Amino acid sequence: MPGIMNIGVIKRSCFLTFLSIVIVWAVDVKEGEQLFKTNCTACHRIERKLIGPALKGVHERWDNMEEEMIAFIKNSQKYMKAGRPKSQYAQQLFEKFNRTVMQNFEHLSDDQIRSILAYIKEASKQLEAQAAAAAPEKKEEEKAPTTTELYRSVNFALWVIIIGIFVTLLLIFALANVARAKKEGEEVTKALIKQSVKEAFTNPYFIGIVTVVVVSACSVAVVKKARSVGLHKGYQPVQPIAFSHKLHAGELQISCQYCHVGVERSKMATIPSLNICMNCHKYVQEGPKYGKKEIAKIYKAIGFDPENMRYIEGYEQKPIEWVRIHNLPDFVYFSHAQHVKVGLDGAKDPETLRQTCAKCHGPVWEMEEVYQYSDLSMGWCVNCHRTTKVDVNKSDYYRIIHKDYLNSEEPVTVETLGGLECARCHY
Amino acid sequence: MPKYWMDLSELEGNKTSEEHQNGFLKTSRRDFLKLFGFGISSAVWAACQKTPVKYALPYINKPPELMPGKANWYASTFFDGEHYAAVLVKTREGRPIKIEGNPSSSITKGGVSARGQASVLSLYDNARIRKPYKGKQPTTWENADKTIIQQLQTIKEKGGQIRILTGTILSPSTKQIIKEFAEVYPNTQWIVYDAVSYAALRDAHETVFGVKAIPRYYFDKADVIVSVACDFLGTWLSPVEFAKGYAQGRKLHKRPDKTMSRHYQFEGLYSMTGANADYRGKVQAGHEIALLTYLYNQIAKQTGNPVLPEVTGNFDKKLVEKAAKDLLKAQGKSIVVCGLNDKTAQLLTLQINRLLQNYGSTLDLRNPCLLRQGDDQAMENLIQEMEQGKVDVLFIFGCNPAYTYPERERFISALKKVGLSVSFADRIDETAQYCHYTLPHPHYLEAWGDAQPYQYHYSLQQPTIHPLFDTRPFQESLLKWQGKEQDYLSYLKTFWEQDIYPLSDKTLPFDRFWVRCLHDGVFELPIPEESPQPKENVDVVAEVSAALSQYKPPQGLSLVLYEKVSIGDGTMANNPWLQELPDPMTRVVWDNYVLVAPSLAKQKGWKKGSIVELQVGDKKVKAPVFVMPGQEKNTLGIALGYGRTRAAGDKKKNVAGNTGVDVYPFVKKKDGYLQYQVSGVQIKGIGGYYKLAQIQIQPTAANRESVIKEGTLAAYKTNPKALNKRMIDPKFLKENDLYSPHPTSGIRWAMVIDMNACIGCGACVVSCIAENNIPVVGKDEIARGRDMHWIRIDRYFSSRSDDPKQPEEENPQVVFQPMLCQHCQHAPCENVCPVLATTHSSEGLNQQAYNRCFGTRYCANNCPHKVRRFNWFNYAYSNWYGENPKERFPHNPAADELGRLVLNPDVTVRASGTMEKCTFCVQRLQAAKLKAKMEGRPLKDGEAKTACQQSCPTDAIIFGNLKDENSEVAKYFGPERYDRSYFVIEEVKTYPSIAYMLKVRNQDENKA
Repeated sequence: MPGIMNIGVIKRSCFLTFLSIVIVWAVDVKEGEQLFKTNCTACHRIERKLIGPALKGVHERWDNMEEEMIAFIKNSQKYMKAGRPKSQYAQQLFEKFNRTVMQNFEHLSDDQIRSILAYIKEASKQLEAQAAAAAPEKKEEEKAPTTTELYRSVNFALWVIIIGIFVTLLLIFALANVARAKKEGEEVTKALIKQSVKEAFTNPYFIGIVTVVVVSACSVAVVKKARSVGLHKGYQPVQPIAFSHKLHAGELQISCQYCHVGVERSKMATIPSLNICMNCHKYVQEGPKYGKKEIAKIYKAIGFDPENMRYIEGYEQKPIEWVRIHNLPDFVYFSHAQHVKVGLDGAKDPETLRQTCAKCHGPVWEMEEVYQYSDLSMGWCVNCHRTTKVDVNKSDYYRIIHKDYLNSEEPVTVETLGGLECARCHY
Repeated sequence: MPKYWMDLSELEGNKTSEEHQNGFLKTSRRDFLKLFGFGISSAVWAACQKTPVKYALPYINKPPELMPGKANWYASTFFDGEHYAAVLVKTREGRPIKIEGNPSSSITKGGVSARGQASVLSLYDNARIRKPYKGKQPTTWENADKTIIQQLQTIKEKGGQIRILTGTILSPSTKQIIKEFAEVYPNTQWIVYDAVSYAALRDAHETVFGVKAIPRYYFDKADVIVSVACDFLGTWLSPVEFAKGYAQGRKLHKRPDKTMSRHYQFEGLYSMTGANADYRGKVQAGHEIALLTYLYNQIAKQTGNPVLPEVTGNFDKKLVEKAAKDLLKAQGKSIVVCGLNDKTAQLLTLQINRLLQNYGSTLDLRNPCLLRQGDDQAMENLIQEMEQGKVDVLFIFGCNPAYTYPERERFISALKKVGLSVSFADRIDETAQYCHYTLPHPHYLEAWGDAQPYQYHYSLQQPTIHPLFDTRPFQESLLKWQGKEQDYLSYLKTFWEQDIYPLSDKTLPFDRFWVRCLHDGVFELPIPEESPQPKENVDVVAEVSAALSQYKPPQGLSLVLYEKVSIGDGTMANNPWLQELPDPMTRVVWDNYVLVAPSLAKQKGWKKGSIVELQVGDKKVKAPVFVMPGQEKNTLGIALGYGRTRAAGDKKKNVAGNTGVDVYPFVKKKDGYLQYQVSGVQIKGIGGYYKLAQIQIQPTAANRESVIKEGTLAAYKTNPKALNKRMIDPKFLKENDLYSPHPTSGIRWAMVIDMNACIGCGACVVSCIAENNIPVVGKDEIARGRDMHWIRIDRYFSSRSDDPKQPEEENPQVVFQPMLCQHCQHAPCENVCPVLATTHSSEGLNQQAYNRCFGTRYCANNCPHKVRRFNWFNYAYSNWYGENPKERFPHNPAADELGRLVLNPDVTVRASGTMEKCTFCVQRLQAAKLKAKMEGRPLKDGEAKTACQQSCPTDAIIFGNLKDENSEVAKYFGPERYDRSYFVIEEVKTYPSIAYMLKVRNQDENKA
């Protein structure tokens, strides 16, 4: 019976999905992360190569042979010579990374290594999700499933429900057909049921409902996709210097304005010029993570000799080519000064400023590498202009020009003062 | 009521525009479908591009004064060899993008001409050479210096002659360097040559006062102005300065006693200055001396002075008598100017001014003008010397005689005889191509310098950008060749310390004095009391009558070689902004043409664009005809400065290359002067038609009475209301409104334009282009009516058909009306936009969102003012549709890597298929508001300025917040507030945000 078969398929697939989720979460990813951070980060990163290779996609490279990977991690040199299935690959890897010997991890148990591998798998997935312009909702616990996953499972459930409804409908129509036939005195035979189901398929109501639902679901999907075209939320390009905002703005608590000098004065917040870096890095020549490597890039660009603490004369300086993360289109005029200094009373103190910046840029102080936090779409701008309240009494400018709103009962928002008009941003 | 018309064809009954006559687009349905399909697929393809990775490069060492995103302003000096202006240069991220006037200068008082505005684009001219050249081969400065110094030494030892040929030099330090050079190389002589010479004016003053000088003219102090063939508002001597002064006497709203200066203009062509005159009399070119003699006699008779013999000439005697009467009434408060480079004419003018006691009041010799120092006789002597092979070394700086000298073949062959010739041109121009070396002098925006436009007025020029190319100042070369290892800046500073600082009151130490001068841009000294007195034993009358006995006014046709407001002598001919700036009178762009009077055209059967051959002596040119109403019937005119062959050197991108014809060979040498009026002209039609590209959307004023309002001063004084007739009952207007009003805020931007002050010079147009990234579309596109200027200066002719004696086209008056988006409160464009791309702001702006617009052009169709502009192509950069804009729009700065640097980063560069129009410079308004907000203070009146307003040399534009009751604009906005104020086509009820002050001419007749 086709109807029953359908249900069987769905049931099976449901079960499989559930099972796979259970399997994924059976391994303790959390423990893996802990272990990874203590044992591996000196040489490895998930997203990029460091001393050793990037671990993203390591499972694919090892053809998912977990046992082989465990053996390799425990003692890589031994593994290479053992003539095991991936020994040759291990040899290549060794050559590729300048014959740097990987440390032995024989003290870790197989299960521990498994959980590390599980964490790597999970983290790679997250990275991919971020790269695909998905939303890295950092506010939530990092260990919780990412929004993309949630989104995917919700989506999946939705489809299951929809198909379920279709099947139910089909059954109802088929049963109705059967009931009608029975009423009319026909005998319930296999052929009759078959016939009823067939008729149910061609029932105009059924076809109508299916069409409406499918078309609207597809439209929603198309609109959603189309809306995200050109938006680069989550964009996190690799920068020429592995500069950590987490370190500078987070741990060291350097005010945003110390480097981004234009934020209160100009349209642009400005990327700091190298002489600003050199204020500190003339003396701070070594970082906690990369040692001298990344800071040396500044010296190379500006022509500084760290050994003798002096600038090299006649040096041909080269600017650092940072990759722009926030790209507004040419037809949008955005002024940092307007928003930070005027709109949000930004830089009273570094903490307020930091919170002001975070409204659009997110918790930069937590970002190892900066990514685009907001989607920077017009809808996003407009929503903020609709809800942000303006204190008309805050300066003579507002008191005089917007005197009509001084005693306004309604809350005065940016919108009230014309903040949604085209020529405020487009000219 | 006079009749207003915009084109001769309208008088002949034609009511449709040329565009309509050409018929509709002939595209078949199949072609349409093909293009449509292709368009869609290419759009899809284009939309599927990967987002490019963008980089951000911060400074290595950020200069502390520089903040990315904010403009820096530097005071500097503009001088193109003809006109001087103290300017402020706006730079963004270290590149100059806009020129504005420097209000600190008492000469130009914050005004800049169209040429000054456009000069910033010449900095980014691709035709400039990037390194020194030896002949046609690039060389290095070291090599060039080595050989030149060697040759100079040998020549010095053998006693050879060195000549330095320059255009007018205003820089006192440069003059000093030349002097010092002449001390090191004793056989050096310095010759000054101007393409358009004013030598006779200076010589006349030498004859009478003993000083070879041009006085300073104060048009603001003059009650009566008589100008004879002198375009002092457009091109003559120092037009921006004169316009500033002239406007003082024309702005009725600033004169509570309702008086105005009176301006008589006598001329053969119809100049922009003539258009502004109260009374304009026609005089055949070449007959001006007769007119001046007659005028002189009228005045001499009344003041009891010796009279000259009468000379008959072709001019309006009655009007001259009237002018004489007015002049006599305003003794000491009048000016007579003459634009001829003819000593007799200048002596006569000088003498008239003397009789009227004008010297010492409106003409000041105490502070003489140092512009136009060219000496025609010295130039002639130089060429003779060169021909005789006597000149061993020739340096050429700031002039281009192989193009501008009338006997250019003679000059070129003489130049070839010079042992060592060095040009300092920034491109291998007509002259430089024959020189042994071309050592490029930097553009003024990348070099140090100074200027002394008047004896007691100094001005500094400072670089605003690091030199783009491997150039070196002319001054530094001279210093080096003298054996001085000094750069020009240090020389300049020492010079100012030693020669100029002592003239100051020395309250500041020199360092601070220098910084202050740099900041202010100008340094002015008090003018001494003593004025040069006339020499005692000079009998001007005798000298003039001797000359008059030889003088015979020419018969037949005479030709005037004039300068256009935009192109001038052709120095900046490779500047596309100037080429696309329409001539104020003819509205033609990108070309010169033969101006003929309507009667002559009718007689010969010529129309606009008919090709004629013009012949003077054995020299001929072919050019199209432009029929100019109001031109004297025996006078022809053609503009200088066109038809340059090497305006771009060897570069293909030669803006000036194929525009117009070169008429410098027609310039006549007479009595040792270069004269720009030629007699014995033959002209014949040779058949054929050439399409002149004209910015004139519609050649008709459609008989509307409410577009232009004007009247005489007499009428205005008796009943201003009669002049400013309301076209619709104001009460009705108030009570009947189809639409609900827009929400408003505390700001309502509005503008008032004084048509009395607007002289039509076009400075606002170029200023607008520079401020708003307006593309240059070229001759073809303009001929199709696709001009992109956001502000245009409409030129209306007006005439009365009630005078049967005079055909309407013979002596019409001209009114200029700047037309830009009126920011209507009930804008007809807004409610036809299907996508809400054009909407209204609470500040009264009619906004245009480019990214929303998809190009239906309904708005432009519905605009009663025709101020909306459509981007038919991606003028700037795209080649998506198989069209390479670099080939199609090579002159558009934005299509060029280098030219793109001039773009204003605060304004979007519009893509194809979008509509654009005047925004009231919303970026400037927003910037002014932000500044006030950041300082927590209210917005000051006059703080937010539009680009057109800022650049207007006569301050004809008032702009501000209407809601601020104390603002200037609130005083004059609309008929209820001021009696001269009116709205254009008020009856269509669009409630514009721009009001015009009606034009009043200081005429006696009480006619409306």
